[in-house]
Amino acid sequence: MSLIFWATLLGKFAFLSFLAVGGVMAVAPDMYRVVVDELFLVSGEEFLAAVTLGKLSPGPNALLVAVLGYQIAGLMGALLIMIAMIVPSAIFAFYVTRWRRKNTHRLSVQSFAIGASPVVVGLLFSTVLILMRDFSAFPTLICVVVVALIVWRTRLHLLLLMALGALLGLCGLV
Amino acid sequence: MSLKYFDSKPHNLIALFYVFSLITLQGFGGVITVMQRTLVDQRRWFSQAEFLEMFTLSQVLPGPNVCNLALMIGDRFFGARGAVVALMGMLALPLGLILVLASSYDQVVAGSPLAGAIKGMSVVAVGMTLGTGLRLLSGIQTEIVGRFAPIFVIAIVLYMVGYLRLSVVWAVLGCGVVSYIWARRCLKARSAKQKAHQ
Repeated sequence: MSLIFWATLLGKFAFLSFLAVGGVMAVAPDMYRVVVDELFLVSGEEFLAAVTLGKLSPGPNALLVAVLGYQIAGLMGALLIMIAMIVPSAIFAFYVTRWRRKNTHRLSVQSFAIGASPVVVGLLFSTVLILMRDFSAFPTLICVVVVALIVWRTRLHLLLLMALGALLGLCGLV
Repeated sequence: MSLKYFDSKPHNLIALFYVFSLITLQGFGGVITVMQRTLVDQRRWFSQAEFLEMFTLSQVLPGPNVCNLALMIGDRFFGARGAVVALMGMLALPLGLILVLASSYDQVVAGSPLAGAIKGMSVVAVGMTLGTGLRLLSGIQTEIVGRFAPIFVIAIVLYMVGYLRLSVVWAVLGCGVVSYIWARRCLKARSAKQKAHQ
């Protein structure tokens, strides 16, 4: 594949990473548009498989772009697309964080930290609401609420919860 | 039950890499839950409020947010080298794992009983995200901004993003600005009061 092709693809992913405010899943629809509809690099099913793998395997959801890269051009593709997705926005984040730490005494910086936190918590709850739409069955809803209460109020090991979830899923209960 | 650590800070770069690898490998469907629990509840590197503050910044900055968060934490303890090491810890092992899975996806996962297990795990992951949101509520500085304002902001964000499915950018800009102005007013009022006391 040509140099121009790679420059275009990686440029688009670097651009998307700057739009990904609140998580990579926020730009998943835009990613779909780029790799499936515009550049015809993967099929819709392959894209869905990448999203599923990103959710299923441990680590940041951003890893789903590594799967897309792998589908497009093997190992090299996975590494390149991952770098495009992570490095430019990471450098930006690095300098913003440093600037903020030097300016913690400023009223604007303090107001930002205090004012933005309910917005962020609201975004977390929104993610839950959006993902819950796929779970219409009553036992599934109960399961979500019970897990939430356990995580909120106890220190039960998270892997234990995951294992229980896998077991319930295997038995077809959720 | 989980072990208690209390090491209060990482001793060197290797420890940093190790802790972040451990966090990321437990993070099925949501690393933030594991990170909060490991760094705040177990190792006590941060208080709930400090963690929420960093988490907030990582969320409003562009890019994968748990990666941003790892980078900030690494930078805080060991500077730029720490930032790189924490990010590598976050990504190296899961990247290897997901590529192995990607190369065997068609034979192993699609249409097998594993698909059911994956469904079950994703249900648990959603519950964990909800639980993390509830835990982080205690980091909101209600003694400064009061109780009503944060609840109001959370409800509006939930309506805009969760219900209407508007872009996150609009919620962050719209509600963020309102919440920022309110926090600024409260901080100003507070420091005026403190001055009056002196």
